[in-house]
This record gives sequence, C-alpha cells and structure tokens, in this order.
Amino acid sequence: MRTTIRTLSLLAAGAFAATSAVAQDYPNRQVNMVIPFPPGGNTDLMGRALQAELAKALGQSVVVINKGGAGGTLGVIEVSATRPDGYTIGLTPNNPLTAQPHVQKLPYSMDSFKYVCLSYYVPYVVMASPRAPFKTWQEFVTFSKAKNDNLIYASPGPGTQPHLGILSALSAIKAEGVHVPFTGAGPMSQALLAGTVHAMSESTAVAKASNLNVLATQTNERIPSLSNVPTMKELGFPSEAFSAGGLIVPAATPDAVVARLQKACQDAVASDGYKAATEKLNATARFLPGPEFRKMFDADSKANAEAVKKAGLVAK
Amino acid sequence: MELLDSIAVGFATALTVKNLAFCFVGAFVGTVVGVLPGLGPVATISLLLPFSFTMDVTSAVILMAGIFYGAQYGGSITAILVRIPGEASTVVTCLDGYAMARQGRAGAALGIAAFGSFLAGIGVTIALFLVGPAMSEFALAFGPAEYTALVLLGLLLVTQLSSGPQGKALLMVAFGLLLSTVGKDPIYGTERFTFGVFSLFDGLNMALLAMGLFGVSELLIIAEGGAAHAKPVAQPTSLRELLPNAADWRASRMPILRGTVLGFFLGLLPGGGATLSSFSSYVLERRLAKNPERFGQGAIEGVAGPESANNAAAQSSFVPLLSLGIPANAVMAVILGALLVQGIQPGPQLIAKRPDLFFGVIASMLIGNLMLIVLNVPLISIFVQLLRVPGSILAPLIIVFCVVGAYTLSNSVPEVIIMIGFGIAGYLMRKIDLDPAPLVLAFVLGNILETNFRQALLVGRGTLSLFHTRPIAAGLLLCCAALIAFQLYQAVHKRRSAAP
Repeated sequence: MRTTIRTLSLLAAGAFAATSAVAQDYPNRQVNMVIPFPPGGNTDLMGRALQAELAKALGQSVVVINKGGAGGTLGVIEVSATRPDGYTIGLTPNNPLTAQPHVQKLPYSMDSFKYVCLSYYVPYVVMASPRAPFKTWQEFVTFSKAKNDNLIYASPGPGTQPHLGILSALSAIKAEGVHVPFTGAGPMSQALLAGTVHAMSESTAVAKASNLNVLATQTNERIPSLSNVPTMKELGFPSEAFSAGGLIVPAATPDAVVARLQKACQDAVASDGYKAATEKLNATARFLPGPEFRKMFDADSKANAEAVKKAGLVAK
Repeated sequence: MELLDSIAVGFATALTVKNLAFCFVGAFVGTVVGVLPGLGPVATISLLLPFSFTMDVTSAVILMAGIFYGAQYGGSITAILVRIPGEASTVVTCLDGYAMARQGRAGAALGIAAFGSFLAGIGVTIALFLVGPAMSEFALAFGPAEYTALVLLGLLLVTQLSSGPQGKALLMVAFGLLLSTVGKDPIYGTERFTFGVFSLFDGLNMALLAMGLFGVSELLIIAEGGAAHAKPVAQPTSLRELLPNAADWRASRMPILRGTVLGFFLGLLPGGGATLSSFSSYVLERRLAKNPERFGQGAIEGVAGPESANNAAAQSSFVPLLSLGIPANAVMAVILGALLVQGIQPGPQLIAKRPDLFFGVIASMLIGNLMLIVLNVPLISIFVQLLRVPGSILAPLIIVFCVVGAYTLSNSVPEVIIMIGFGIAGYLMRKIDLDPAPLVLAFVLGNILETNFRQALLVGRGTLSLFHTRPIAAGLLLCCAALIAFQLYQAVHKRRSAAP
C-alpha cells in the first residue's frame, strides 16, 4: 500500500519535471525517511523521535521506512539510489558512512550524498562486567596491559561502532585483547552481565539498562548524567567514540531542497518534544548545519580508516 | 505475604478499564498480524512505538505484550489451516496441525492450540508471580559454551523429528546447517556465499525459508493436483463438533503440561528459546507416545505440546527483559526501546521501584490469554470456513500474501525471489519425500551453534576448556553422548532381534 502510493507519487513527480519549480514548492507531499537499522534500536528511536517534529516543521507527514541489514549499508544504498528530489531522505548514524566503506565493498562513498544536518549525538563509554577482575579504570588498564590476551571484550560484530569504540580506547592505553563479537545488543549485555566477557564500549543507555559499571567516558568533556565518571582525556588517554547521526540526501538533490530540509531539521532539533525524547534516551539533541556535519563525518572516517587497517578489517 | 502483595499490585494495575482495553486491542491486533504472513509482531509494534512515547508506560507494555502473544496464536492459525508458519516457533505446528486440517479436524487443532496456549499462559503467569524475579539468574548461567551444548542437543533432537528414515533427516539437517553459513562470518565479517547480493549479507531470513519450503511448496502441490487436490475438505459446522472432544483432551493433557514447563525455562534464554522449546516439546511427545508413527499424520499431541511451549516461552522471555535489560528476541528489543524512551531503566531495581509495571504486565498476560480464548474460540468456526474456499481461489490469494509478506520484511525485492526459490526447492523435496522441518530448524540452530561455539573458543583463548570446566555445559554434552549411545544401542538391538 505504502509502496503503491510512493510509486504513484514518484510518477507524478516525474510528470512535471521542471526541477526549480518542484524545489520551490517543496515539500508538497509526504516525505519518506529511510532508517538503515531495524525497529527498536538506537538509530530507530532517534529517527522516530525526530519524525513528528520534522513533520511539523515541514508541514508534511514524514513516514519512517526501516531498511536494516549489513551494518546499516542496505538502507544507505537505498538512499543513494533514490530520486534526488528530497522526498526520500535518510537518517543515518556515522558508522555506515564513516566505517563500513573501509570494511566492505559498497556502491556508495561519502561523496554520494549531500549532508543536511546533524540531529543527535550519543557518546560512548567504557563499561565493565560486574564479574570482571577489575573495578576501576586504573585496574582495567593494569589488567589489560599485563598480557596481550588478558582482556576479553565484546562487540555486536566486526566493524560496528562499539567495536571501533573499544579499539579506540585500547589503542589509547596501548593494550590489546580478545575480541568476541555477539549477534546484537541482547546477547552482548547478557555476556557482560554473566562475566563471559570483561568489558565493552557502548552508549550510556546500554550501561543503565543493564546496570553496568562505567569506567570512563570516551569524550572530551564529562557527560552531565554521569558527572562523577572521568573522561579518558582527563585520565591522560584521549579517546573519542560516539554514534552521531543526521539527515542525508543523494548528492544530486537541488540546493534549495537541502536548504529547506536543513531549516526544518534545525527547528525540529530545537523543539522541546525532541529534546525531551532524546534526553530520555540518554542522547544529546545536537544540531549542526550541513557543511559542519560533513566535516565531522570526514574526520571520523579518517580516524576509522586507520583503526580498521590496524585491526586487519580492511575490505579486499 | 509478599506473593499476595505482588498479585494484588499486578491485578490492580491490569484490571483498570484503560489497561483492559489496551490488553484487548493488543491481543486482537496481534492475532490479526499473526494470521497475515510476513507482517509480524515486530513490524506492528514498531509502528506503535511513536505513540508509546506519550502513553502511560505500563499500558504501552501491556499493549505490546498483547500483540506479541496474540501473534503467537495467530501464527498457529495459518500454520494449521494453510501450512504457513509465520515464525520458527510454529514450524512444528505445521506438521500435525495441517495434517489434522486435511482430515477435517481443523477445529480440534485450532481449539487445542488456543486452550493449550491459554493453560500454558496461566501456568507461566503463576510461576512468574512465584519465582519470576529469581529466574533472571538462570539466563545468566548460560554462556557461549552452554548454548553450544544446548543447541547440539537440539540438533540431535531435530533428527528425531520426522518419521521417515534417519538418513534423510540427517541429510536435511546437514543442508540446514549449510544454509545457515550464508552471509557474513559472525566473527571476522568475511562474506560467505553472498555472490555480491546485499540482501544475503546478513544471511538468509528464516521467515523466507519457512514460507517458501512449507507454504509456497504446498500451494504448488495443490496447483499441480488440479481439481482433485484443490477440493475443499469438509469440516463440521457446529462449534461443538469443531472443538476438541474428550479423547483429544485426554491425549493433550500431559503434552500441555510438559510443553509449559519446557517453554518456561527455555523462554528465559535469550536467542532461540521459543523455537527450541516448541520443537523439543514435539520430539519429547513423539518419544513418549505409545505409537509414534501417528506423528506427522495428525496427532493432536503434536499440536498441543509445541503450542503450549511457544506461548509459555513468549511470556517468560519478559523476565530477562524487565529484570536484566536483555531482549530475548526482536520483539523484546522494540519493547526495550519503548521502555527506554519513557525513561524506564529495566534491571534488578525495576521490580522494587515499579512493581506496578512488572507485576501489572504479568497479570495482563493472564487476562490477555483469557481474552484470546474468548475472542478466538467462537472465531474458530469462521476460520475453518476458509477451508471451504476452493483451492483455485485460496491458493493464488495465499501466494499474494506470501509475496507481500516477503517484501515487507525489509522492503526489498530479492527477498521475494529467495522465497519463491525456496518454494520450488520445497516442491522438489516433497516429490522425493524429504521433510523440510529438520532443514528449517537446523538452519535456525546452525546460526546459534556457530556463533556460540566460536565465541566459546575465543573466550577459552583457543582451547575447549569451557566445555569441561563449566558444569552445565559438560552436563548437556553428556546428555548428547547418552542420546547417541542410546540410539546406537537401539539400532544394534533392532538388527539383532530382526536377525534370527
């Protein structure tokens, strides 16, 4: 049903293809927002929190389409191949754009898109199993550095954001460890709670959901909700890890449409409803205009390229 | 006394008009989406997610839980009537449920599935009130080594699933395991058998396998059989004749009880618990039956046990979610999201801080199951009428639903092609008398087995030490060895007694 409507409306859009005219009265119908992860995950919740406010700001309904799979790349591929008219946009975190292209062969690159706006930021923290042989940051460092395969750490799969997060932390303290990937967040939290693995890097939401001990935050400034936990920078091991996302459109999208979307995004991110929702999810509502958003992802991509190479995850 | 308090808090929460309404809507919507192949509870609950942001959190979870167990029941309706399992946990219901429907006993199968689920639901609710919070430790006792051993035991049971020769079942298990290796390597991310098709990166989807091998293949058989095969099967019309009779009840009593216990424990385990519970219940009943050859030919125990087990597992999977923040399956992951959005942190403190939420949800399950019975038993006579529709009309309609369902899984076309491919494969397998059930179950278990075995090796730093130092893992492996030894003994014994 939804697809029929979409197909019909695409045909209708094609019929009067004078781009400038289309761009001027954009948006005059429903906008589809592709989320490249399955429902219930962090990206999905961030997208759904933005959905209502974005619809208000655009004056048109915004429909979420979850297209998960292959580390978020399937959904991003869909956005890259869509008609560049602003009626199908993507809400993606950094990983599918800044990490996955280094890990697997993909039909898109950072340059396949125009960057509309950043809409949220979720810092990562290093957390320990309640049954781990360390309780504090200092003990964690000593334990991890004592032997190369002393530390066992979890991730939801090679090349995922939590994997890159812990790699960044370990690289900062110059330690190594045994990587044990799990299939998703549930089994990973279970393994940490049960003491099967010692540590992982994830968002504070995960730490709170399973009541896990946070050793340090991978940020430059302290996280307000965790004001008693030191940052890795303070501890003398600077490491930054985060999941941050925003809206992207295909590179060929007219600038007028991108500008309209950016304005709507700014209003939505500034709204009280969105701020309240993100706060509950232990994320930060953060707006960055397109160019700065792109700059942030470029820097992230560069850092990931090195980390991925070092970990031996590079695409053939 | 504490127990009575919990019950009082639970029912005081669940019995408000608002929560009763949400419970009813959830159970009803769940049944409907369970009936429609492909449109599963995950998709439905995620559609409701934005609305839950502003709802009272207990009501939201009651609504979502209702959809979840409603869909479990709805899925068994299609499994019984048209041989389409919506989820891995209803695969075994196809075996005897559909056979019963072809014999004109669809009503009895649907009835026992409904009552079995209901009784299992009551059993689990009581168990959760009694020991719920304490059971969370059970989930933590299972690490990679334990899962590996448990799944190994499961695979041995799968070979006992079909009544045909063991060799054929083993062949199907091998194929299922092979199919489970498609997609990215779970540890290193290397692509395996993907042929550059992005839809295959995360492996094959179980729902596509099940819809193709069971549903589409059956429709092809109907199409081929022409008028004779497409003839509707006569079903009794009065509700009284439709429902399970006294003999059915006698046969089903113990399977329901055993299924409930199995489902309760396995449901506490994240990842595959519900699936394991339904087919281990099936195998258990077949083992215990006086004449196991009836299984697959329409034995009501083969419906009663697994259906009770998967409903029990669906409900007990809320315990690891609420008390540990561990989602046991995709539905639980969405519900976890809804909790987090509301600022509720699941965890050991949740029961102390929000007893109304924890016990309210548990009490609502009891009420929801009662509503499902009230809702569905009168509907059985209507569902059964569906079988009066001639195959020439029903079959194309079902194909359409399957295609739509396959497409909506991830909004893409390759999924549809994969499902039809498996439909044709299933058709050919039927022609040479190969049972698809062991294949589908081995496929599900294969994924769990590979990931956990390799995790166990990593955690053991390259050694098998976890398997003999952890008592539960070692115990389960001993059970596997005993099972193999028993089968060898039986085979040798049979051969000896056959020879003069």
